[in-house]
Amino acid sequence: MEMLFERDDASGPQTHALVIGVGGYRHLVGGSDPKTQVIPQIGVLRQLTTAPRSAVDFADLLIETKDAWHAPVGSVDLLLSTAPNDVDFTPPAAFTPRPAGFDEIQQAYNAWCERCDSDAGNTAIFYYCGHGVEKEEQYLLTEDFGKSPNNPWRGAFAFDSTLLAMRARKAQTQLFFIDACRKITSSMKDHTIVVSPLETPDLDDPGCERLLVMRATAAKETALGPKKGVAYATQALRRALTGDAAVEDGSGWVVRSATFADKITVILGMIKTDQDFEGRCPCHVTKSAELLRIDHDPKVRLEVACTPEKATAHADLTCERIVLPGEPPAVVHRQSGQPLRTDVDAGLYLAQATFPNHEFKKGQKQFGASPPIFKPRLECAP
Amino acid sequence: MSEINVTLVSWGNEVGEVPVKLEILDRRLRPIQQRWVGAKSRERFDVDPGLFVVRASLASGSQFQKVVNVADQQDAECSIELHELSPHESHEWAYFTKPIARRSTTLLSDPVYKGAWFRLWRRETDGTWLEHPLPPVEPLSLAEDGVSCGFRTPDEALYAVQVGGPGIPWKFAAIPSTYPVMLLMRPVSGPAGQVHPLEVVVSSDHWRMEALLSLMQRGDTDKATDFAKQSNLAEELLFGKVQNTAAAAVGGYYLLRIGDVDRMHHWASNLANWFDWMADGPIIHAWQLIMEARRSQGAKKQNMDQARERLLSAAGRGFPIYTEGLRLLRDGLLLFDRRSKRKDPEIRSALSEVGAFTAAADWSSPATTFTGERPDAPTTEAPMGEPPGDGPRYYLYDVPIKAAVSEGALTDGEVLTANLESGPVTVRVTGGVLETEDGRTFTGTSEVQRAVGDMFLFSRQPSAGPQLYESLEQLRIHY
Repeated sequence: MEMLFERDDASGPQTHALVIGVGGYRHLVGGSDPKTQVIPQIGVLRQLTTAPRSAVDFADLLIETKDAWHAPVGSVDLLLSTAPNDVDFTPPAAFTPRPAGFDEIQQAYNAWCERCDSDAGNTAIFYYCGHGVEKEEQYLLTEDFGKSPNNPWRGAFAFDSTLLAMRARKAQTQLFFIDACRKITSSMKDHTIVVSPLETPDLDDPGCERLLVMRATAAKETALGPKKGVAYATQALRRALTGDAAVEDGSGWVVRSATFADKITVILGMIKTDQDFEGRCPCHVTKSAELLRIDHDPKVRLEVACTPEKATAHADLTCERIVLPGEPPAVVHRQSGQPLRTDVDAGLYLAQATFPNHEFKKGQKQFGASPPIFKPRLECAP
Repeated sequence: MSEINVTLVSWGNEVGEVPVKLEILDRRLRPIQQRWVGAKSRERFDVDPGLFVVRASLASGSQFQKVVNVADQQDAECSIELHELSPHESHEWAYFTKPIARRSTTLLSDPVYKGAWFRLWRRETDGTWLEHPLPPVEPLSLAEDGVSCGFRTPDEALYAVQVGGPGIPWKFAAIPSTYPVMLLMRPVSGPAGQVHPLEVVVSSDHWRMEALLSLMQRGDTDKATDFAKQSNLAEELLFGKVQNTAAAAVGGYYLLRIGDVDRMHHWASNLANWFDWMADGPIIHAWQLIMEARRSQGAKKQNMDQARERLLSAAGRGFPIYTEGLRLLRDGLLLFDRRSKRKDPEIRSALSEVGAFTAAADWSSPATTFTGERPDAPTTEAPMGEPPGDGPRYYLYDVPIKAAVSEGALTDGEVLTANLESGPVTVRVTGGVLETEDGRTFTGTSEVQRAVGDMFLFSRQPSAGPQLYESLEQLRIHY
């Protein structure tokens, strides 16, 4: 079984990831073997172009950051299904991903569990992007969903029960990222849905200490993404893990599961402006874990403006890092007549507003800019 | 050595005990000192000369910061205006302690909130739910951007508030009845259908417990652990269950969340046994048993049988006060359902009942919150409109003229006048609406306010009976 990435010099605790992107649904409309569905609203489920791209993006991210993880990335397994008409999609170079059907996912899950079980210090990562629905729990749909129209659910697995089972395994840090809808249609409410987990929960092991579960959307809601792009929640995931969710802990910038949970909705709002409402991207965290370290000052999005707001239209705004004598001079960011928006390295800054026509008095502010975003307001009296 | 003297400025009467994490960061933003203090504190930090960031973090997730330049042998003053977070000092408690919605561009006087109402429910000992009059309210703050009030329930039982309106889906929120309860009901905006237009923020006045709950709810278990460790808070809460049942539940949930069941001792069992009105106790005890069983094979069979009973007992007690409990109840039942290969009819039935709550729940709210017509009948598609029957209900802001007439606050045919800045205005009550002399009609007090002037400035002509504003106030939440 070929994996997308497998570390050669594997020793000690590792991070093992199972990444699944289901964009092609063989038996749904637009699939390679469409079937007329008995449950009417299942018939409206379509092929997805975001799911394979999102899964590949997340898998790439893990490989890019493989040495930064608290437990270095040891393996990344990737299962992908793409829609027949999604001809623009290109899988990772020199890799032929296995399809994301139920049997393949089950097999990959079993192998992933074995890898995760090899060391209690391991970090287990499970990522899924594709169709999801929620009734008693969240159900994730595999490529062969709908193969038996009388019982389409045979091509799905019960996520929350799988999670309960996985939690009892040895890897003491476990991360689950689910970028899928949680909606339920009225016809699904009326039907008894029997969906099996990938593993039956048991109580033979003490259970993992440090758990993070992120879902792309609140209950009853839809996960979003641009057509033929990476889903918004997965974009937020990338930003979070590459610095937006980092905090300075005294020995450097670190992304922890607690800081991830605390910041992910704000990060999502930076990507899709109206999506930063409370609960949009719910996370569940038990004991917090260090996930990975950032070996440089992470970027911070700055949005400098004046108070009162109308002063901004008249202002020349500048922002520069505060440097000590002997340090190289700082880059000065400038903007006139509108808010100054720029990405800077985390650190101490001085922002100033001056008014060439003296409509308002000069305003200035020193501030510490920490990721993901900071919006200093400069008080400028008329 | 020099000093930074930090003053936290907040004005609300309630917020002195609200915990705030104060940190001193160096110029690389590395934390060099930190402590938890009250929201009205003045704190001294000894530092070497240099440039520092003083950062104040609230359990709500909001942060304040100031850069301070400290000279050698000199003290630096740093004042942090926490009160700026809240539009009113009477709402500070909510903005400081709760993860409330970031956006609010609407007001309660806007048309969508027309006739928005509020009522209180109590679960009786036989499991039925009855509408309940609102106990005396103190304090109270009625503003267009939110209504804040406090009250104490007459007894320890499962209570829930419900909000709704002709344009507001009906929604319940559980309240911690063992404390003076604080409520903030505020208009919020967001994508249609995804954000409920009326946010209901529920709190007790046990601010340390509320802070711990909010930190957990936001997933910030680093800060929760840091805060709880400061004073063995979780054990203190759980041990103090006789005085503070709801706080004991929060202490238990926290210890479960971080997997520290050893510190729970027998308190969770007592919480489940002694307070049979509350579902949170048996849920916490069930999960303590499950987690202990995972560690000790010997305790397994007995523990699992008892955990099953506890979960079934919890499902029979309505719903837990806290969302954390709802999640644990669902997960526990799922666990037993899968273990029995879905062949345990009692677990199946409980899972189905609890599933109705989880499907309708707002998981972002620390207190159990769900949509539905009745507290025992959650539904994902919530009804809207006036509630049926003549049980006690209170308008949040706008009072429908029709309701004012049917409740006797206005009389059909009577004439009301006001001397507004724009000049004298006369309106007549007719057929459930107010009609101006030039023929404009209004169906609620907010419409009058927007088009003519504040309804509460009007008086009856001829002057008779109680003042008009007093009559109308009786229909809203009032002292």
